[in-house]
Amino acid sequence: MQTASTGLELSDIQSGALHPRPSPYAGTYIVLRIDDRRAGREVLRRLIPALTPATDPARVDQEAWVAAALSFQGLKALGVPQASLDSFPLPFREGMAARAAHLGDVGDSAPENWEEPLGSADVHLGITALSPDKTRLEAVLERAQKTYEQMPGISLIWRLDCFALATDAEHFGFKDGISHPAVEGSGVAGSNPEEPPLKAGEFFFGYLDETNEFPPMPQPEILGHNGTYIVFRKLHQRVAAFRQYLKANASTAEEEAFLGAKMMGRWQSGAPLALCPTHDDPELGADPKRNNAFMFAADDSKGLKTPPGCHIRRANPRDAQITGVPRLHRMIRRGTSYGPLLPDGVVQDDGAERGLAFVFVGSRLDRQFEFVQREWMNDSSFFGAGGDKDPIVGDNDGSGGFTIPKAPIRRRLAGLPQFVVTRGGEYFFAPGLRALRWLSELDT
Amino acid sequence: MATKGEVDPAATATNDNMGTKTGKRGELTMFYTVKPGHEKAIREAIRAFYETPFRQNFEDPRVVDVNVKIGVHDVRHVLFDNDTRLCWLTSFDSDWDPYIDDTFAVRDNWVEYAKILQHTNEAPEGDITDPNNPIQKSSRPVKDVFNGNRILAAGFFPTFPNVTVRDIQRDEKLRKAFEQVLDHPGAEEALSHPALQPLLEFASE
Repeated sequence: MQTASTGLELSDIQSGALHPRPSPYAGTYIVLRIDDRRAGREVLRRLIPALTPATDPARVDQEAWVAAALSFQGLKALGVPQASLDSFPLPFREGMAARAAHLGDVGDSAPENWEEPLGSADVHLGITALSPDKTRLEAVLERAQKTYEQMPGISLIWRLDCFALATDAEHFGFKDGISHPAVEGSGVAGSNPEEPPLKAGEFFFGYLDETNEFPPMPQPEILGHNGTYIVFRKLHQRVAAFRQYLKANASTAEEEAFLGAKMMGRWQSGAPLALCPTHDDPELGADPKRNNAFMFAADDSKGLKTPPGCHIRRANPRDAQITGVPRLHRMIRRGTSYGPLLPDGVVQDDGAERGLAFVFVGSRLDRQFEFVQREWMNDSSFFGAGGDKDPIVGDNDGSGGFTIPKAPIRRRLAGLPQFVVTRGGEYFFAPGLRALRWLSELDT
Repeated sequence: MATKGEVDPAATATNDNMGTKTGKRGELTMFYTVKPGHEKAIREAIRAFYETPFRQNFEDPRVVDVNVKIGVHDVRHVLFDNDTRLCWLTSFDSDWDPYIDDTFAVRDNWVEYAKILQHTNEAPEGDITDPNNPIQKSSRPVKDVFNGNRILAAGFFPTFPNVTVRDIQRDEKLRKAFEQVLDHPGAEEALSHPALQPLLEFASE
C-alpha cells in the first residue's frame, strides 16, 4: 500500500540499501547469470534468510551484511511477467551500457571497452557481501556459494573484491563516505545537521517524495513496494596521473595538497574547505558531527572557499545558487575501494587495476543518478561555468579546465586529463524482502 | 562531442520523448482545444498569467534570480482559430522532466497553470479552487496534462543553444561592470596594459 505517512517499513527494506557498513571492512561483489528461471528462484529462496532487514543496521560485531539486486535482464530471466517488466522506466529497461551517451561513458569509458561481462545481457543477479574482516567474509562467501554452486542453470560470471580502510581513504587519498542524507522515517541521521531529512519516496517505492508525489513504482505493488534502484559502477582511478597533474600545477607539496583540496572541496583528511579554507584540520576531518555541517550560500556564494566546480559542490550543491533544486537530485552513495594502493609519493603508473566500486541508491534513475551525472558532473551550466566537467570524476579529455575562484583574480587550471575511467556497471533493482519472496515463488 | 559554443549535431535529438533538445536547450510545444464558450475566459486567464510580478518585473534582480533558478528562457501562448485552440510553447535549459519538477519545487505555482488549462477540453474536470481537488496538493495533474498534450518539435533552432539563462545573467552583469570601467576617466590608461588587450578591443564600441 502506498502511504503518505513517514513510517518506513524497515522490516521489509534491505538493510544494505539504507545503512552504511561501519569501516573498516572487506567486501565482495558477485554477479550471477540465470539460465534457468526455476534455478534462479531457488537461489533467491536460499538467499533470503541471509539478507538483513533495515531494522537491523550493520554492526561491527555482525558477521556479514548481504544484499541482493536484479538487473532488468535478471528479472526477465526469472520469468517476471511482461506487464511487470513494462512497468519499469526506460533507463532501467535499457541498462547502463545503452545509456552511455547520457552518462559520459565515452572514449576509454565506452561500453565497448568495459570489462566483460559488465554491460552485457548476462548480468542478472548482483550480490554484495561486506564483513568486518577478510576471514569472516570468506566464511560468509562460502555459505553464499552453497546457494548457487552445483546448481545447473546458474553461473557465477563476475567477482570483485573490495575494501574500506579504517581511514575511509579512497585511492586518491581523500576520506570518502562522509556525506549522506537523512531519510525521513528511517531513524538514520544525515551527516549534515543543516539539511532537513529527505522524503522517503526519494529512495524507496511506496512513499511520498520531495514533489509530494509517489515515485513511479514497478508493478505489481508487491514487487515494487519498499524497493529501490541500485546503480553499480566499477570506476578505475588513474592515481599516478592525478598525482602528476597536481605536481605539474604546484611548486610545493603543500600547494599540491591545496590544489587537490580545491578540486575535491575537502582536504584529504575529509576536512571541508567550507570550514577550513586555508589549511587541513585532521581532527575536523575525522569528526562526523562537524565534517559535513556546512552550507554554501551564506558565506561562500562565489566559491572563494569551496569552488563551485569542485567535486563535492557539484555532487551536492546544498543551498548554493544554481539552476534547479538540489533536493530533487540527492542520492544515497556508497564507495568501496578495490585494487592495491599506489604507495605514497609514487607518480609513475604501475599498471595495476585500482579504483572505486560506486554504488547509488535512489528511486529515480533519471532524476537522480543520470541527471547528476549528465548535468552536474559532466557540465557546468547549472552554476554558470559552461561546459567544464568535474575535475576529478568528469569525462575530461585534456581540453577542459577548472576555475578556482580567488580574489582579486581567479586561478584557471587547464588541460585536465581523465582521472576516472568507467570499467563497467549496471542498473539494478533491490526489491524489498517480501518482493524477493514473491519473485522466488513465481510460477510462470 | 561539441565544445562550448558549438552545436553538436547529435545533440539535436528527442530525449526519452521529453521534448526536442538542441545543445543545452529544451523545448516544449503543446496544443489544446478551448471549451466552447470559454474563449473570453481563457484570454483573460492568459492575460492574468502574464501580469504576475514574475512576468512583469523582469529587471528586478529577485525575479531574475528565481527565473534563472528555474532555467526558463521564454513562454508563449497563442490563441488561434477564433480563440478555439491554444498553442503553448516554452524553452528552457535542461531536459523536460527535471525542468518541470524543479520548476514546481522552486515555485509551487502549478495552480497558475491550471487556471489557463481549466478552460481547455484536455484538462481534468473539476473546480480547481475546491480544496478537495487533487491539484491543491500536487502538481501531478498539471504535469499529466502537459505530458499528454505535448508534441515533439520537428525542428528547433536557438541561436545560442549552449548559452543558459545563468550564463546570460552573468554576461549581463559583466557587460554592466565593463561599462562602468569605460566610464572611469582612467579607463584608457588602465586598459592599455598588455593583460587587458582582449578587453581593449571592445572598448571602442
